[in-house]
Amino acid sequence: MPEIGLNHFLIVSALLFSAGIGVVISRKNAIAVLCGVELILNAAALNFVAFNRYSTPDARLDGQIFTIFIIILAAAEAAVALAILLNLFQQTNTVDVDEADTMKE
Amino acid sequence: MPDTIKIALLIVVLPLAAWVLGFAHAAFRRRLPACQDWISTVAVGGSMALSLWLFFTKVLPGGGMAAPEVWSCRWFAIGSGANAFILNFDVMVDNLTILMNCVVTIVAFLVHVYSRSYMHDEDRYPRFFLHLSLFTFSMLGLLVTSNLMMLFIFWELVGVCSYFLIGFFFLKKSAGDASKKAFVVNRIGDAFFMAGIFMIGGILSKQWPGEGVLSFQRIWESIALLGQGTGPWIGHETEVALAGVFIFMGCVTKSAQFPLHVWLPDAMEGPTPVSALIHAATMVAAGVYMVARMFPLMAGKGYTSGEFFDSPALWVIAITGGITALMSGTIALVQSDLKKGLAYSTCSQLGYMVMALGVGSMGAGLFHLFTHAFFKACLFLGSGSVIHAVHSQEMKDMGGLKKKMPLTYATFLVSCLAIAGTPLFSGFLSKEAVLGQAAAFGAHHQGVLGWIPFALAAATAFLTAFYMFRLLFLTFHGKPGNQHKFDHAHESPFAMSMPLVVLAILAVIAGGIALPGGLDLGTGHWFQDRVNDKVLVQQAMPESAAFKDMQAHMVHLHEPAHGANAAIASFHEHAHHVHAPVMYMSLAAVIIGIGGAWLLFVRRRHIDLVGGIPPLARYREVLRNLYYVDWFYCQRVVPTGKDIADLAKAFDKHVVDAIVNAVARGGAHVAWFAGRVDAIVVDGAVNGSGASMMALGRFCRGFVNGRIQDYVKYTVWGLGLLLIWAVLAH
Repeated sequence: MPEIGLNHFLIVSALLFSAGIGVVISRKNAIAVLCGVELILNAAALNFVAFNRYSTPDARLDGQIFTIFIIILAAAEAAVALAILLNLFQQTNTVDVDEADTMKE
Repeated sequence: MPDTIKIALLIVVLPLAAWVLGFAHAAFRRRLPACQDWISTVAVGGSMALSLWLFFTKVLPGGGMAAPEVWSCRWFAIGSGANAFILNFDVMVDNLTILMNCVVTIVAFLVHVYSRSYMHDEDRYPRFFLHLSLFTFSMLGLLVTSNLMMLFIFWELVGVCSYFLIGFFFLKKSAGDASKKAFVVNRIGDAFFMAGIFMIGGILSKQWPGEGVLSFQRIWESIALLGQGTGPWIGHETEVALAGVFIFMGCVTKSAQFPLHVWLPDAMEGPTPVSALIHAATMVAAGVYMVARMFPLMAGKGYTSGEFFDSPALWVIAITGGITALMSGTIALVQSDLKKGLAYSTCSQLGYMVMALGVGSMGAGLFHLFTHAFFKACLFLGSGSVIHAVHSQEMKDMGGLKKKMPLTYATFLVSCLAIAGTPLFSGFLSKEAVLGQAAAFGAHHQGVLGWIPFALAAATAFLTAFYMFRLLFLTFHGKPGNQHKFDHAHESPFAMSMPLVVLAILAVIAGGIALPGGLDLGTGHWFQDRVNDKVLVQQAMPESAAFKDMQAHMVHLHEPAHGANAAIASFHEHAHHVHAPVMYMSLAAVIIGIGGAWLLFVRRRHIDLVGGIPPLARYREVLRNLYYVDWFYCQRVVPTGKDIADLAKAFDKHVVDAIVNAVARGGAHVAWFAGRVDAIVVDGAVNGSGASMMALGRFCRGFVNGRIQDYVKYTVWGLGLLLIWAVLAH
């Protein structure tokens, strides 16, 4: 059993990112799209932590602090996005992203 | 611009101004001004006053103008640089110009005055004066220009005015036909005239490129150079004679010379004042004037040395003039129409003038032109007065009008005496000058041929007195031919008789009057001292060496200059010897002619001349048929022309049209093919490019569907591709 290294983290992160993108592209439900975005953010956060652990041996915590910021940002973003979605639902009675196309006209 | 030129141009422009006024009025108000007669008369009166002023200040004192005034401006150039053909508007005023201006304006003014009365009740009365003004302008323009091409332009203008005025009563078919005849016959001569001008212009401009070669001075100079064996005509000696004859052909039609005289008698369909002005005094004399101006060209190589009596062009001119004089004189014998009789008389007198030029005397020819203008205008206006009184042109309706119309009779008589050549009248001097020249020409040639012009002229001299007095006696003497018309005849009003009186006075004094004070007016010399080729041409060429020692050969009564060459000396010797016999002969002609006419037409009133004498009767038929010249044209020339036209038509139809049609069909086929290429290839390419762009657009539009998810999808694809590329590249 080999030792877990940076590449393993990066592979997990890439899988997370790909899953997130896949969700963002394919799902029609806006809440699901938001979930996809969370996955992408988490993939990025994982990258930060992993790079911090393997590329800075003098134990500085820059990556971790960035990650905390990302989590906060994700929470804030989710709050705003869900508020928008609630409003959207109230207006159109749906959360399908394809239906919310009034700006196209 | 010298003052004389200014005045001369003003003389020309005044009648034009009258025409423009009338025309402008017609253009804006849709009709001519009612006072057009006044406008035209005042304008031509002004011209006359200026002409007379020039005459009394320039021509009469001393020996006339010392040198002609010349002025010229460029009209246009064809081509550029050294090869350009230049056309200048050349103006030259010399003794001849002023004298001719006087003739034209005096006769024109009197005809205007006369017409105000004569034409007053006619339709289109203002239009008549409009045409008269245009004619007067054109005629005066013809006289002041000294460029052959400009002369030709005015020549055509007087021709078209003549056409308008002959056809003035165009509702009458005969008048319309006569105007057409005049126009068409004149085209023949004009075509030759133009060919002559082109020949001269072509040959001279080769030698003198980029200069106004058609001015009289340039043409004269070229002839002088030819006499010295240099100049543009070297290598073109035949063309000199040919150009001379071609240009003379213009004179043949305009001045009604045989065989193209046929239009002039028919032109009598026009109103009588027009006959007096255009077809007796001025326009028909333009041909003589033009030949006189081109006299050096006609004389050719020997012009400056005086040895030109064998010039072919002059021979043609002399014989043509002689034949015309005799032929028209004989036809005049049998005319029953007063105006037609006068018309043939005009032809005959024009023949005299032309013949005088042909035998080498420009002075005598122009002198006869000058005097003839007055008495012939007087005769025509007198005939108009008679026609006005009896409402007929036929002499059988006249007779015995002497007492009813004393003033018309007196003036007619004076003019008849003048034209017959009675001493003390102007015609005597001019006719004697012409006959004297012709006789000297004959004596100089010392052969039968040389006497032909004189023989023709002398026979005509007898005829002239005879037929003119026939007209006079049949009109004014004897018993009335038509009692009803006779009873209603009356003397014409003052406006008509005044011009007659003035012209009759001029018919007496135009040749010269004995004045105290040293003016040499007692003989025809006063004219010929001022108007002869030596004076006119030599004075106009002050810088040309060839004209310096030009011989004074044609001033027929003058002694030749000391050191003159043998031909000149011999000619003058002959002229001196024949002078007296010729004068006796012309006196005999007057007496025999008038006496014969008196016997035949007053004593016995033979309107039908020589009727009852079989051989003469047959000749009378020939005369009645005008020597079959008209018959020949109508029965032979015109049908032949029509045959040729038919042939040409067939050729056109079957050959030219066939070619044209074949070309057109070929063109249609090519066009059809080009059309298909257009429709399929070109349109296909255009539509194809359009359609492909549309398809591309449609394709691209599919990507931009407004769905964020799709955009993200494309971004991921793009990133993926970049990733693959990056991996593969490293």
